[in-house]
Order: sequence, then structure tokens, then C-alpha cells
Amino acid sequence: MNRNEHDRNKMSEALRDLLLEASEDDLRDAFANAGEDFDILAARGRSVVERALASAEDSSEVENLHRGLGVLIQLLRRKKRLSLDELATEARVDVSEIRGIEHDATFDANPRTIYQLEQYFKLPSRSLVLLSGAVHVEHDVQEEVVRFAASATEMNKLSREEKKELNRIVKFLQEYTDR
Amino acid sequence: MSVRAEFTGRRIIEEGVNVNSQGQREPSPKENRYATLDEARAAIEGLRDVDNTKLMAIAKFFSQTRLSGDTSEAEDLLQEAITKTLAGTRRWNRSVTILKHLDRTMESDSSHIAGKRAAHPTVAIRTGKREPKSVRADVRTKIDAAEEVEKILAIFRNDSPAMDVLQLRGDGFAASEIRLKLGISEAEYETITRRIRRHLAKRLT
Repeated sequence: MNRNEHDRNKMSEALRDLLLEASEDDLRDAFANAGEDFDILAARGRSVVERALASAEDSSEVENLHRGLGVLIQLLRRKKRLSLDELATEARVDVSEIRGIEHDATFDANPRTIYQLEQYFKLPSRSLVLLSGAVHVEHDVQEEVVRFAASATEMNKLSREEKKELNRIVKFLQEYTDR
Repeated sequence: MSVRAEFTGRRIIEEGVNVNSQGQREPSPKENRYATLDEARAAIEGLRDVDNTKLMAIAKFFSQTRLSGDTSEAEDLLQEAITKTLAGTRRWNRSVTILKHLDRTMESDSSHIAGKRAAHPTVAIRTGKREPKSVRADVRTKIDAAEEVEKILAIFRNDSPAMDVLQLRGDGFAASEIRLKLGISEAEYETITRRIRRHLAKRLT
């Protein structure tokens, strides 16, 4: 960065700092002088903040569903004693998709992958779509999924408890999609 | 928003996070230099109208000097800065206020997007991906950020007291030090900074 660019950046920051430190009266005066309505600008800013806050809420709800999806797919895969690669081959999906679903709550699976896994595991139609976060779900579904994900554990062979939880969540999803 | 969240948020916004009961800033241990996600959320939930106005003005400043100049892009830039702070991908350093943190985040993001657009003009702010040209037909293919900042600073070229204040502020001098250096009173300093804000507001609208 040359000296002129450095000076320009410093003065740009100085301008912004004068805005950040201004009182409400100073700002009202400045924008009124410019023919801009302070309250309209404030409302626009408030709307942006609210959108960001709402988006953050939505993200955590979707991540909870994704965690449930990841745990469910992992249990179903282990029940059949399949590796990640084997499941990918049998279900005719990309192994990176399976890996993403099982290990990354922020991962957005391909809709085709979701459909293929539903078909392969003979799950109720649209049950995995609910867990993919693609559609809005009721609060009771989210609660159930969070409870399920928390109660399932990592083991090579499914324990009796895990089988019980697995059957319970599949039954719950069946009943929900039948509504 | 609860009363407690509003109170906590206001205090965090105005004073920074580490302030004792006497209002003195306390040194933070190295491991505590970043605010927690809950603290960041409380600060953002506690933003008032005057704070929202400042943030929109800053966003418009970057939109005009580095991006397309659209108000919608300014809003996207601000929303992305807040989203990243809430998600923890841009951590808020306790030594600055939440407003300054968001200013720095928008500065960094707008610079990054401008760099990407130098190669791919249709890169969108929030996804970082290229949008169809028909959607962003108004994006300038060459953004000369330096030229845009120069245009804003040129407003003050014939106003040497304003340029002196901006240069000294840029060099890190506090208001009291600037008044001493320039030999001006508090009232004169306020007059100059009011003039700077008015010119800047006019340029941003």
C-alpha cells in the first residue's frame, strides 16, 4: 500500500469515526441539511438488524434439524452395517453428501440425495425432507428431533436403546407426514 | 426484548464490554479479549435508532466508495456484517464498541467483494457467488475505490480547517489534542465537525 492510499484510508476512517461518534442531534442536523429523513434511515437500519436477527434464529433451527438428520442417517447406516462409501454406492449418491449430512450441521444436502436416502431406507415419504430444513416444521417436530439427536450415541453396533430411539423417531416421522 | 437485555445491550454499546462500576475501562485478560456470542447478540438487540442510522450511513459510504452505490447493496453489507457477528465468524474485540466492530467488518467485506468483482463483476455480497448478469445489470465493471474516496475527500479540499481535522483524526489524535494543535476552541471544533458531517450526509444521499 503506498503512502497516498494509506493516508486516504486513514482519512476515510476518520470520516466514519466522526459519524459513529455523532450525537442524535448532530445526525438529525446533518441529514436534514442533506434533505434526508433521519427516521426513514433509522427505520431502514432497524429493518436490516431485525432481518439479521431473524435469520440467525432460523439458522439455529435448521441446524437442529440437520443434527437430527445426521444422527438418523448414521444410525440407519450402522443398522445395515454399511460404511459411508458402501451406503453412497447402494443409495446411488455422492459419498461427500453422506459425510456432510452425518458430520456437518450447516451442510445443505442435495434434494436428490434426500430423496434417494428416503427410498433406500424405505422411510415415510417426505420424512427426510422435514429434517433437511427445506420446509418449515412445527415446534413439536423440532423438539422431538433435538431430543432424539441428544439421546443417540456413537457406537459401532447399535445398542438396544439406539434401536428403540431409531424406531421411535421413524414412527414419529411416519405419523407426522400422515397428518 | 427484555428490559435487562436492553440495559445490558445499551451499556455494552456505549461503554464497550469491560467497564467497572466507576465507568473505567478494565484491562482484559488475553483469553477474554473477544465478546461472547450472547454479549454480541445483546449489543445488537440493544441498538437504538441513532445507532441504526449510523450503521446505514456507514454501509452507504462503503457501498458508494467500493461497490455499486445501490442502497440495497448497502443493506446487504450491513446485514452480512451483523449475521457474521451473531454467528461468531467475525468476532467482536472488546476493545472497540459494537458499532466500530461492525464498521470494520463492513470495511473488510466491501474490500473483499470489490476485489472479487475486479475479476467477476456480478459477485453478490451475501452469498459471495456470481449472480446472473440480468439481475445485476447495473453493477459497474470497474470499481475505482480510490477515486470514489477521493471524490468524497475533495468536498473538503477548499476547507482547510476540515482537512486539518480529518488528517489529525486519521493520525490518531483525540479531539482535545486536535484543538490544541490547531489552536481552536471547543465551539470552533464542533462547528468544523458539524460541517464535515453535513457534507458527508449530503454526499451519501
